Amino acid sequence: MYVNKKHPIPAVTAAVMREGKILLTLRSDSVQFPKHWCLPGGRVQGGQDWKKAIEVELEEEVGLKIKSSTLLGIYSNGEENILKDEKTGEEIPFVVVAFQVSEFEGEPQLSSEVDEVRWCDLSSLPSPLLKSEKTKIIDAFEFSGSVFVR
Amino acid sequence: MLFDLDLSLGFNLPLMNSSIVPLPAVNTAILNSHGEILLTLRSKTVREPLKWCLPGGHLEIGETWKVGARRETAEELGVTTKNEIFCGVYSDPELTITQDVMPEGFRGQYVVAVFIATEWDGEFAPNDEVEDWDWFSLDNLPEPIIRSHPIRAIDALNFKGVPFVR
Repeated sequence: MYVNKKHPIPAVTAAVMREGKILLTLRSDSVQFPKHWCLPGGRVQGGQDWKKAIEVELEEEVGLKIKSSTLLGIYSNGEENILKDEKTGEEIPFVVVAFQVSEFEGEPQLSSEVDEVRWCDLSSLPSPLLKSEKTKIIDAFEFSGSVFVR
Repeated sequence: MLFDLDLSLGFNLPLMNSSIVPLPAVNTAILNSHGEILLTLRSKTVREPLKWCLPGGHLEIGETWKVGARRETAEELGVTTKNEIFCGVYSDPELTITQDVMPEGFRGQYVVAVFIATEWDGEFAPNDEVEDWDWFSLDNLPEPIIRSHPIRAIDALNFKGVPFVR
C-alpha cells in the first residue's frame, strides 16, 4: 500500500551468494511487479529495523534463515528504483538498503510470492529482470567490503 | 510495540488505532576540525520544537539519499556540503517512531541515512526552521535532543570507515 504519496518507500533486499552465484526469484502473480525476476526482499514494515525486515522477507519468500549478513549498499537512484506498476500505471519510488548474505540456513523454497528460484552468475541473468536489480547484482559480485552508495 | 515509549510524557499511549509507516529521511553530521559536530536547535513552529538535532529531513521522490542530505543542509543552514561520507543507516523502532499521529492518520517511523560532511561552501545562515545552532563535542551534547540523534552524533564522531547499521 502506498499511503503517503509524497515520499519514497523504504525497502530491503538481499544478495544471497553461494559458490559464486546469486539467488534470484521469479515473482508470482499474487504480488506487485508479477512475473519478473528479482533479488529477495521487500518493503520495511512499521516497527521493524533493517535487519529484522530482511530476515522476515528471506524467511517468508524463500524459507532461508540468515546466519550472517553485511551491508552491501544503499540505493536511491530514481532511474532504477522508481518502478511502474503495470496493473495500475502508478510509478512507485523505492529507496533500498541491500545486504550481502554469505551464510544462511536452509535451501531456497518456493512460496506464494515466489514461483521459481535460481542460482545465477552474471553471464546468465534471467529475463525479464526488474530494472532495479541489475546494479545491485553487479555490486554483489564486485563486493569486497566497501559499501556502495548510489 | 503497542505502547508509546516517550517517558517524558509520564504515561503510555496505546498505539492500537494508528498504523506505523516507515518514511525515509536523511541527516548530515557536519564535523569541524576540533572533533565537534554541528547541531541545530529546532524552531517553535516545527515538529519536536526547541529540541536539538542533526540537520536533515524527509527524502523526496527522485533524489538520492546523498542529494537529499545536501539539500536539507542547504535549506536549513545555507551551506552546501561536498564529498560527504556515508556514516550509516538508522531504523531502530524504539527510537524512530514518532510520538504524534500525522494528519493522514498514521505514525511515521523515520528510517534514516546519515552522511558525514567535513567540507562545505558558504557561510552559515539558518532558515526559519532553525532557532539556533552550535558546535558540540561528544562529552558535551546538549539537551533536550531528539532521542534518536545522540547515537548518530556519537557514531559520526567515532566513525572509522565502516558504516553503521542500526
